[in-house]
Amino acid sequence: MTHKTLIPIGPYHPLQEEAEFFQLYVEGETVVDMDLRLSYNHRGIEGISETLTWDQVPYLVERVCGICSASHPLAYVQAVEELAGVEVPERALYLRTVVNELERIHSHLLWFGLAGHFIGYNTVFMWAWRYREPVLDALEIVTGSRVNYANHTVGGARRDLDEEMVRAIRKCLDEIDKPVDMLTTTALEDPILALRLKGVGVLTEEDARRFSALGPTARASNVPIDVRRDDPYAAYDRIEWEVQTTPNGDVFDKVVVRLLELRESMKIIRQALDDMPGGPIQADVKEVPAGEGIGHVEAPRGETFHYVRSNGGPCPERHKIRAPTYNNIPTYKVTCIGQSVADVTITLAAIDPCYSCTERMAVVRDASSGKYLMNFADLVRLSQRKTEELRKKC
Amino acid sequence: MPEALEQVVEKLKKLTAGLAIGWHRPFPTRIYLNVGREDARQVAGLLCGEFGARFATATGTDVGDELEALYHFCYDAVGLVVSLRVRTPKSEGTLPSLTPVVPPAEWIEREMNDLLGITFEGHPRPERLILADDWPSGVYPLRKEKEHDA
Repeated sequence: MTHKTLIPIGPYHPLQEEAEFFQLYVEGETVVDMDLRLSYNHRGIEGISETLTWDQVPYLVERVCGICSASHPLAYVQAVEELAGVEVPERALYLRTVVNELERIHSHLLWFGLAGHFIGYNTVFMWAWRYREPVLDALEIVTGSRVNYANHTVGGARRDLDEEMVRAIRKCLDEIDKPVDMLTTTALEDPILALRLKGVGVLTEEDARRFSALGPTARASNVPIDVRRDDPYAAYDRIEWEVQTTPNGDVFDKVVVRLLELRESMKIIRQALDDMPGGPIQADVKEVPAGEGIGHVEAPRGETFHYVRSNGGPCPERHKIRAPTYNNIPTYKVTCIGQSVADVTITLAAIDPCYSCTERMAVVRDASSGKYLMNFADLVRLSQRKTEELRKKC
Repeated sequence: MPEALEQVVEKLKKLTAGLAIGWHRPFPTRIYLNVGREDARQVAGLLCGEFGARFATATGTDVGDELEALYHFCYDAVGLVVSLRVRTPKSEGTLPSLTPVVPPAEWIEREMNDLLGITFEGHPRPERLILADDWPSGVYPLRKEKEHDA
């Protein structure tokens, strides 16, 4: 008779330290089943939104997620603009593009650093975060804040760029140019990283489609979806850039696809700065009529979806928010099963989960006695030890 | 050659002929389809199957005497979002679950059940998702009669 053990992980995520609860059922070292529980941090934002006026909501929704604090407001304002038939000035569209791509760069670097730490590559962690700093500085110069930029308004943008700000963004991009190349080359050529991450936590193309996976999680499984190209918003249709995909769906490909996207984001920002037209940055919005509107935006983790309904009053009648993690988490059902416990932590981290957006915990427990066998710190150690062993063999 | 938006819309019209009881296109790339409860699963199956759309999410709303579930599907090749609207009288509060034909709808239907009290018939796992275990039963946070106490 096989002995099945329950490994609970949480209520804090082993990597991102947010509240979720995964229960892993293992036989020996192999995960045979899993279950998850979320909503430990549900803040009722959709409900609160119905109590705020149309122009107050962006400041609420940028607090859905500290990392995607440009994506949520943009999806929201686009939904309202669609509903109210607002024509956004050209310059504002470019400004939105710049802020949202800076956000993607800092988010991908943040994730890459954490993923490195997780498998025992603390140098990667230090480097990635070191070069994330100039990006946050650029965001601060442009918007006045490192997080919660409050830059997107219904009908335009709050803050215009002056020449000094443009110089600061260019300087930031120049500063991270070589390091991004270095990080990409390191990831692609490091033999241990390949041994450690290739073939781990595979999400097949078929499963990615079946689960409606989004963003880099889908694109690493060869599903070429990207709202920026598919339903263009801001200035993405006026700029030359490519949707990045990788074919294998494993954790390694999820690393690579994000690194390739860093390059594209830098390309997009440079073009946006070069081509940025003059003119006003805010349209005149008089009232929001009754009706409904949809805004979706390619956040760093995938499509962020907002739906608003108006009855002609001062507040939304209904405001639905769906963050990409909501669709990406269920893919764990296929990516974790069959994996060794040491690989689960990096597999769980590979979708770059963002739970407060979605809602968060993990433990290892003996199925018969109910005794805790491992906590998340043990799991991280297990993951780091596996890399260490590979290093010794190489 | 990439597909043209109008061709895709025509295809959708043909597929849903006789099933959709309302068609609303407020914006070129946004279509809202109203369907009867009895046809919802068939239309959702067509959207995800033959039509080839990706399920994005669903919005549950308290619209007064009725409860509404609005399922959003994206047809990414032309940036079209098709929203499938189905309603139930508040007194009944039941809708067919679309999860058997649209598996990624599992969570959002559980969430709509938590927040609005819509029972999804035929849902494979009708358990709580969002609300805490000790939340009182029969209290639905997104119902209009529920006062915000935050």
